[in-house]
Amino acid sequence: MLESVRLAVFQNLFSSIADEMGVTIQRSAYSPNIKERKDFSCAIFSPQGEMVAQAAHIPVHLGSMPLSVRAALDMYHFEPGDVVILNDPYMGGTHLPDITMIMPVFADGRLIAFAANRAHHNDVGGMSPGSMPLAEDIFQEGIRIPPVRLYRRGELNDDIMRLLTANVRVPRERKADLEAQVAGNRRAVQRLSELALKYGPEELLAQMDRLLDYTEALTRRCIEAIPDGTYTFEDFLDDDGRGTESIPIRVTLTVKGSTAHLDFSESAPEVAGPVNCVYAVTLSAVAYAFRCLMDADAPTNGGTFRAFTVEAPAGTVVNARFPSPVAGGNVETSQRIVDVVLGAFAQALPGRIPAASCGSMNNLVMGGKDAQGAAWAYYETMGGGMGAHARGDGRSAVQTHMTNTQNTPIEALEQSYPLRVRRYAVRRNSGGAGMYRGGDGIVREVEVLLPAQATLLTERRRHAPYGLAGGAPGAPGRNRLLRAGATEWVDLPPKVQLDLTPGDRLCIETPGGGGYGRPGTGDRNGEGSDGR
Amino acid sequence: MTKGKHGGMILVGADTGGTFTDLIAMVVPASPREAPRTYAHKVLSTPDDPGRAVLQGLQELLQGALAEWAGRMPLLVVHGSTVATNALLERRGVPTAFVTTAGFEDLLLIGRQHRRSLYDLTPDPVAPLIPPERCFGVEERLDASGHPIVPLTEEEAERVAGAVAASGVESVAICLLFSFRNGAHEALLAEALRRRGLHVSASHRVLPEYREFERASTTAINAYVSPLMQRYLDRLADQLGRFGVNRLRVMQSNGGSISAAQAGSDAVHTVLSGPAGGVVGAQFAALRSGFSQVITFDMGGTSTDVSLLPGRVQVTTEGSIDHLPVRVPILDIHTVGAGGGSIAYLDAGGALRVGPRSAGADPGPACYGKGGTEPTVTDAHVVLGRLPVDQFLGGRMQLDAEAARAAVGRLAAALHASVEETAWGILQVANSQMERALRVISVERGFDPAEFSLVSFGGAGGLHAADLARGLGIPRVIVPPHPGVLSAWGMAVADVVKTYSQGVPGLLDRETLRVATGVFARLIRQAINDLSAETPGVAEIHLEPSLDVRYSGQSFELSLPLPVIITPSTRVPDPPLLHAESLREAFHVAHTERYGHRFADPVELVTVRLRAWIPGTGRLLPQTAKRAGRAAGTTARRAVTSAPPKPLRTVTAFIGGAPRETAVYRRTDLSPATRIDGPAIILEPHATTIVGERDRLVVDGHGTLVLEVG
Repeated sequence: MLESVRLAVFQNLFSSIADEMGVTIQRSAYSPNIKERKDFSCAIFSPQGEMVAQAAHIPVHLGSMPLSVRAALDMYHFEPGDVVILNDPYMGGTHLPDITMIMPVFADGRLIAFAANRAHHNDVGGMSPGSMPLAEDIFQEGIRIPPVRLYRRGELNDDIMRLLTANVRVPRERKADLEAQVAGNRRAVQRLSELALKYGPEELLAQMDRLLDYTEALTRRCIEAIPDGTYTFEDFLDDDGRGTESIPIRVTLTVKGSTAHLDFSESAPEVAGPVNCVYAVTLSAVAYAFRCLMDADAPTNGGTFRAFTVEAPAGTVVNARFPSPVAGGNVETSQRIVDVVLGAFAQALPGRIPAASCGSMNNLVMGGKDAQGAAWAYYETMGGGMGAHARGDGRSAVQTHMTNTQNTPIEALEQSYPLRVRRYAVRRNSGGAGMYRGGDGIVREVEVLLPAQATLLTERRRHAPYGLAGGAPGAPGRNRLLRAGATEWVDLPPKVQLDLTPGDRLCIETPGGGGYGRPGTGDRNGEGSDGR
Repeated sequence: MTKGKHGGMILVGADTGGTFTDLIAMVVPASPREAPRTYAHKVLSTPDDPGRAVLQGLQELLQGALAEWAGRMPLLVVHGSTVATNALLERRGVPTAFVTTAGFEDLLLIGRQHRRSLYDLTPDPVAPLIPPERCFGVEERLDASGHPIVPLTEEEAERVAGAVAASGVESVAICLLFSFRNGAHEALLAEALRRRGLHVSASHRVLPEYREFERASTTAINAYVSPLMQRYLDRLADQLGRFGVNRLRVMQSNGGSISAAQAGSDAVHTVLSGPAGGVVGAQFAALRSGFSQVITFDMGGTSTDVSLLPGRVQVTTEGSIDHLPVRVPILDIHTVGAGGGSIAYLDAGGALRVGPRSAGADPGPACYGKGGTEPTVTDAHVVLGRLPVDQFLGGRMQLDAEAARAAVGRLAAALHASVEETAWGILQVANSQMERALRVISVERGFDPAEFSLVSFGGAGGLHAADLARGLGIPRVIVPPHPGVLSAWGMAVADVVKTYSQGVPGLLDRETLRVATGVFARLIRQAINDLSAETPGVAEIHLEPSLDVRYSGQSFELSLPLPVIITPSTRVPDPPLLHAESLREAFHVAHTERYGHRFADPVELVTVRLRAWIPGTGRLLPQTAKRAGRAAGTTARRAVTSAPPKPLRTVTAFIGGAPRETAVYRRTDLSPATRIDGPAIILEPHATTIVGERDRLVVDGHGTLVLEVG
């Protein structure tokens, strides 16, 4: 077989296994967050822990999973049938709700690959339902799982399962979701073993290397297209929810030939509230930005990571140290890291990079007891406006950059939780003005029918998504509360924890995307706008 | 169409395609002992008015092959129309409004809020079916159990209807929150809108199921295309009437046909009907030859459709078209963007890629000699001698081997490989993509390909089928007669099908089942009324009730089939008996089979479904079909076979990766029981079949090629 042919054929083979893993998990998982919103990711790794293939799911998961596999590799000598589980951000994880499962693949007695997947669990214990609290430290955020073996040689270590489920609010759901994750890995292991039988382990390993080399070459070509030089960009997080405001994130990108170096050392020191990132998340956001420079049909794998280096000193908000709280680093700070890296790219590659998108996942976490007294936890992230670009308007009301989860249908939500959605709409005119307009955000208004706790973990309520090339910034988001019986809406801070009583209403308005080009200039090639 | 005696009939399937309109005419004799005669015909499509090609094709058939019978037997046409599909894809539907609960006017715009392409920072705009200024909110609200929290008043309904009418639309989609629980508000609005002369699609009638966006999308599509479809079908029925056509039926995406009148008001059921015809045709042909477990493989110019039939067609309620959800039941067909016209290229990293870009029909592959210079899958076949250049379209079109060689040669130079190696590489990459598609529908869903036969059709299917079957461990490839017009054939033989559903969410207990029983009783009554109205004189109606059930809190359902009811059309049978405990147990078992585990959790009902059908002509040919099928099976297995005729010629063709002396046959020269050992190439006007080196082909009593993969 020609090398060029083999490359395409094996890329298909590996990707189809990652896809199959995803189908298995989605079908057998339990919580709406995994089944409906598809907040999970699947990938295949080389024995050295480089990601070989992924199913297209959640960017923030995929870029950070390699460090999970490394952490597991450092801890254990894997045997067939082992499944390592982890979520500890300081030992290979990102934030506690994201639980990763890793399983080795053996052929002829030798380790040839890993199957790994990560899913966002609705609740992993801690101080508030949904496990995304405004915590002081990691201990308040939920149960920490360092890399441990949930299965040893195919046998469930029920002690661990019982310990885990004793520490979460909806144990039945957690157990089923964890079982779904194991089923996904098992499926991938089986498929990879079949491939090893058909092509031989040597060939499989050789093709993994070849695919990684290939993607590295594709990434380097993109970097070569960036003029050599140094580009700096800075943007801010609104706050950490515990008193620190306007937290700078600054990157200096240095491009030389086909290598790129990104230095985040001038970013803020780690903060008291939960917007700190572990290094894996920072790496993931940078990898995402590079991946966006590549063609849509290029493979997404560890080869991309070889082409750049990231400097993020320990103790900064982009490489926090134990025991800093990190729940929002994964979902909020990761978005800002993308914004600054793309901002630096925009200087180097004018015309190719869009204005800033919404820049927040607009996390809403709620929980309480239902009418029968059973605990419930509900987690939703909301899209916003996409940044406009040199060819057209930004899309409206859509998930951008590091996430791509679907919404929970209102008819599912109201059936499952004591909540009522009063409004779900495009937030008109929230996109930044420009030759091309930024996309509009979303408005979602929710009423609680029974007492509940709510946590809002949102960004871009103060520092607006930037415009480019003369385009105006998008409108910042806004969070408001109308207490039952009250007549006036009260503005809420970007990050807040609330006790709600029946009849209280929360209204989340998500940010619009930045505009591109000075308003009233240029040729719009007819109307590019589609209303979304 | 009706069971029992008839004086014979002529049944025509007419399938509108991008380039050709295919027709199949079956003359069904009065006596069930006589085998029907089948005639295929192809005419160029007329995209400006697709009906013209149908009329022209029919006229040519009536004056030609059918002259002997024309006017002496009833004439029935089943049509696979692309009118609704194309209107949707090209956004040429009628001006349409969307009405929903106030506060949710952007339901269609927001969708599920995810983006299609993860890493695309500059996505192309998506044209909505209904622009925001035509989306209207109405003051009303139901809660999750369907009780009105904000009742809809007459005045409000009138106000909204007035505003909608003033917006200048022709059609309206209504989708109110929780209307699947209680359709009263929608019905009130629909009434007010109809009074203003608007075409109305109400979600509690189109798709009374939960998930507001998917229900709204399905309803909006119906509203957007139905008026066009209605006009098109009215005109066509009128014109066909002048040719003596007694009845016009339309193929639906669920694999069954429906009356033209129904299709005109429920056009969303037809948007994926073309591929459905192929699946039904493939099933019919395979069953006739004695094979019931099949995977269909339809490879055309730009894409390939695959579907798995474990004894029957599989339907899904998770379909979509152009990324818009269509949640009415459709045949479960998986499409991959690789076909004969797919272009091969070397990407920036040095990998050989095939598709999704296609040379289409114009200029087409380089070998068409119409100016194409990029190498395609078809060119690779020509270079490798697998597609004889002088026999294309039955010899009416000469392929340009030099042009194919030059196109593949340019790629070969970039690869530093020989032209043949490169051409073989193109086929390997294309096959790996199609193998992936076949895995999605088989292995990923828990089916072992070794238990299936691959039914190959479409122009390019036979060039790839044997190699794909070998790769997946599929033991056998079946190539029906007329593989180039199999969709039309499927339309001709399809059952008459109507599907019904109703969301009935609740714990699977006696109370919920009492409600479900009432729903079944209503749906059964409706089905009997609908089917006996649209097929007058029908004797027997088949009712297949089922329940969508899941563990409480889950969001994916499993379908639990209930016993089939066969009833005379003159009688409304009792609804099925629903027993909570045994249904729960049946669900646990089904869940364990599908996912390998069961939970101790409560089980809930989500949707009540009913598929009602009248057997199509395909099922009226049992005696002859089974006899011939048995005979074929016997000949194939006992090797009572006859030697092949003298080949047309012998060529050197790349088969199994190396050049081999290969016999070339014309399919028309092969009589039943002919046995051919590979390597061989079988030619027919619109298709070519490759028999691999160790494969063995037998022609059965129906002229179907049955290829045992070696």
